[in-house]
Amino acid sequence: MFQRILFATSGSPASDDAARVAFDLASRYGATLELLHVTGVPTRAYSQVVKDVRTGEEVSVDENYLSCIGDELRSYYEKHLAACTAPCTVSIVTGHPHREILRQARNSGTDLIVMGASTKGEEGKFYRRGMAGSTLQRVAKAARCPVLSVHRPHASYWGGIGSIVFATDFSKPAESAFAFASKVARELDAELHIFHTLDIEKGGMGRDMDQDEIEGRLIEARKRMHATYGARMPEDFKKWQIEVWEGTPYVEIVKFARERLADLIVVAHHASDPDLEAARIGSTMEQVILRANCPVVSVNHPDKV
Amino acid sequence: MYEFLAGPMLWVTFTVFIVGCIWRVVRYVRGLSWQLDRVAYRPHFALGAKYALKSILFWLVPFGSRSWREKPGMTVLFFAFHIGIVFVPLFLEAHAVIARQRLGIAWPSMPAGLADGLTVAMLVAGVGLVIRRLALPEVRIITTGYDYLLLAITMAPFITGLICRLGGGEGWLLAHLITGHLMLLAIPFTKLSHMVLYFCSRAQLGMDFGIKRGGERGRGLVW
Amino acid sequence: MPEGKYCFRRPLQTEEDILHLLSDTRGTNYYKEMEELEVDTADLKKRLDATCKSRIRTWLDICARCGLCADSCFLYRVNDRAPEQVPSYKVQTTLGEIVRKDGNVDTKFMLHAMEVCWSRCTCCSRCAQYCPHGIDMGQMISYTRGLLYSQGFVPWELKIGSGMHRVYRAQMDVTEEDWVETCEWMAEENEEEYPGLTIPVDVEDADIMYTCNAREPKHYPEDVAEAAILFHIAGENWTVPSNGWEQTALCMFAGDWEACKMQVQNVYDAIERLRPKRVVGTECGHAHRASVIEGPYWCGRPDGKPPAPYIHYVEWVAEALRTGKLKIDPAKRIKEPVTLQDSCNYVRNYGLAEVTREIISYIVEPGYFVEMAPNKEYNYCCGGGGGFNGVGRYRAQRNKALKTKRDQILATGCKLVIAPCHNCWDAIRDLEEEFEIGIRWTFLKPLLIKMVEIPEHLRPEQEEE
Repeated sequence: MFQRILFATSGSPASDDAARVAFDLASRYGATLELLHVTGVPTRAYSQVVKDVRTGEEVSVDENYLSCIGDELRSYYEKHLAACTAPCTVSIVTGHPHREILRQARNSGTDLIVMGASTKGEEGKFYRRGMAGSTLQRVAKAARCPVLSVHRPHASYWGGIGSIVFATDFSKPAESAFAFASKVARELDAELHIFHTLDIEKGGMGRDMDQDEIEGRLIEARKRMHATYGARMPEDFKKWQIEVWEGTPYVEIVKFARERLADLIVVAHHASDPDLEAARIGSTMEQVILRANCPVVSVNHPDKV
Repeated sequence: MYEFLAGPMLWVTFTVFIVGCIWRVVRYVRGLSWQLDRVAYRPHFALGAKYALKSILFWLVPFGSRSWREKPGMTVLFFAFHIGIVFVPLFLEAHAVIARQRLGIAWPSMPAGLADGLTVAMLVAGVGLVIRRLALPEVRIITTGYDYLLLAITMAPFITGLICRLGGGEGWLLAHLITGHLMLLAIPFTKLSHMVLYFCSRAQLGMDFGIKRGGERGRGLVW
Repeated sequence: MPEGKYCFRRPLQTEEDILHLLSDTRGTNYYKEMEELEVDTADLKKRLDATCKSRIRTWLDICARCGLCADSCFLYRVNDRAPEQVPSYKVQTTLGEIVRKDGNVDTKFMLHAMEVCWSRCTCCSRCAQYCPHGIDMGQMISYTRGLLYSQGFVPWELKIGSGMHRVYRAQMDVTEEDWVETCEWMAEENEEEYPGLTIPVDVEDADIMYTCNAREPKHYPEDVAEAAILFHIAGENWTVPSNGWEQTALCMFAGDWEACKMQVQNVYDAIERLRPKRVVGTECGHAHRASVIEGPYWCGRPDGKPPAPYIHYVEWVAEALRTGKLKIDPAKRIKEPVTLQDSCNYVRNYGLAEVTREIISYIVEPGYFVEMAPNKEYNYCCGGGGGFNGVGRYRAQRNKALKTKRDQILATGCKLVIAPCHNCWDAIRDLEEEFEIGIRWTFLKPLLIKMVEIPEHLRPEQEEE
């Protein structure tokens, strides 16, 4: 199902949960696993100096430094690497993290990127400023393949996928997300819960909707989902169902996923976010990642689904 | 002695002074290189000339450049000094008399009172410049003995001249003549050559900015 | 020791040379060896005779030592008015000494001169505007850098930087392949949002050829994408050359005039090969200086002009806004106090002050633009010009120099600074990192993309809601 997985790691506890999922996925599905650590962000103009992403200190990049970091990373993941049955490689690069992750994914023909959702303080403000959005936000926007992220520790105990929640907002990226979700569900013979939230705040365009209107819209959405997604389900695949709830999307998605014991949530990334900086905190995708009990996959492009 | 200094020596000094100055200018212009200076002097000569003239002119006018406006004190000292140094020797009545008698040239002159005023102003400014050199650390550090020597060379004829004017007698007149000759002779061979090289250097920078650093964009600046 | 293993007079000519010097982390050994590096006085004298002509000699001679340049220098002001920072002093104690001694100077002197030339002057030439004699001390320090470079006395990063230009014809190891690949990648990454977006490589006879800064493809190719998007929206017939796309010249900061010629000639060759009507350079000051202002002279072009009209990015933007090729959505104009950094290289030394302000008039809601003081041609250097930003050895001095710009920005009360110059952008980024005054800074491209109206036919198909 996955041939080449790229695991973008900070090489620190912040990525531990994602690491568990990445190694497990690779072993389970026989994919090659590429560990990528972006160690330093260029600073000092044209010079060779970078800011180490973990210590925040300025270091000069040379072969020696890179191989040291490589060794460190290997020893950090020693147990994982030993236990992993899939072929693993380690790459250490410098640059702006999102850019280098995207570059590597493009060069390697990666079909899944796994990222720790939040590196908390580690990213530091020194390069985030002046360039909008978080690394995840930027990777999720531009990546040609699905991007999987794990935020909460208990989201990482991956025991095989039995239940998938695909949350749709009927956008164009949601098409790609659906393609991915249905493919995974069929291949793994998992249940697929196609879910939509009627956004009661935005849907009312600034006024409160009355209950009749809400219910009317719920019915409408159901119809639309059947037409859009149901029609595309293969005859032999029966384990899917449609659900529409009303509320605030990220809250409802997380609640729904909990109720259906989801092992994976698939959401679309919004390519049209006008201002990444503003979207960074507020986007449904990030909120879901922050709160979900299982890994979350975001899909924006149809290329590598 | 007086006869010699106010006679044949005048010819010698003026010749050396004038030929020396011309030589400085010629040497300067010949030493310009469009490629080393990175200014296409010839292909854009008209544009360059416009800004060269503008540059010279505005810096010759008190408070005509931004630099003069930002340092009004220095500007007053500077212009008092230079106006005195240029106009008093040129248009002093006594000098006009000598020019007529010894060189046979009819020369205009300025009223004696004005000449006295300019001389005093020049000397006061000269002292001011010396004090400035001593008092301001940013000037002190770049000042050398040479700068004081040049100030002495330029101020000496004025001091002696002023004493003569106040009735200093034969000795002072001689001293005035000697220091006067000395100053004129020093011009082509010392930093005092800026009397002509100022025009060259300013013109060059005017052309530099005018031709390649903004003149074409017509911001109307003075460089 | 005449020449060392890392520190020597000859320039870096090969990839191995560069890697070898890079392996000397932070130039530790390089600088150690430099302390023993002998001066080839005969060569220095020869060089002086050949290149130090009447303009510079006269400047040195007639300097009236009046000190009017002192207050014009931001480094003098920011360093508590240390007399050693007076421009005239800096020139007289370096180039002045070399000329007076006719090249007979020793290693210790050269080390001192290096320190002065790269850590006490950014060659912004502000002092040239304040000297009654029209002495351009920025030019003289730049000339002195050339002398120092020829003797091997140059900061480590700049020795490498100019080596990069010699080897890759780019300030970083970005090959032709990397570049073309990056162009494809960026087109691909954005074609969904901007249907039809391409980055045409090597198209002959286009209206515009675009050149940029190697750091863009290397570290933030978004910038290349943004340039492409704006050309696309403006409907320009444009191209990038596969070779000759790199516009910058760290070798100019290094004083490596030979490499400068190689670098700029490479761009000019691309212009002659592709015959574009015009060339547009990126939002970079020194790149413009190198390829448009000084470049023609390095390459021996007697009219002092590049082979085709070569304009700065801000000139293109102003024109596109003026002619309506780019239309700003009035609702999206900047509605917060915003200030503008004037780059020395294309404002003071090229006269584009009003052009950037014309852009401001389109993109900022009237009443929100605040000028720095001083500004335009009289603006202070960002604090990182002339190579200062990248030299590790002089980091402390550079950081101190940033205070000038910090205070200028604070005085405007703005939290947003538009800095259409790589060097200024870097310096302002660094000053925020150093002093944390809570500002944001930006190039023009991302601002424009946020507020420009996309013509109907270029919009992606409407998504269903």
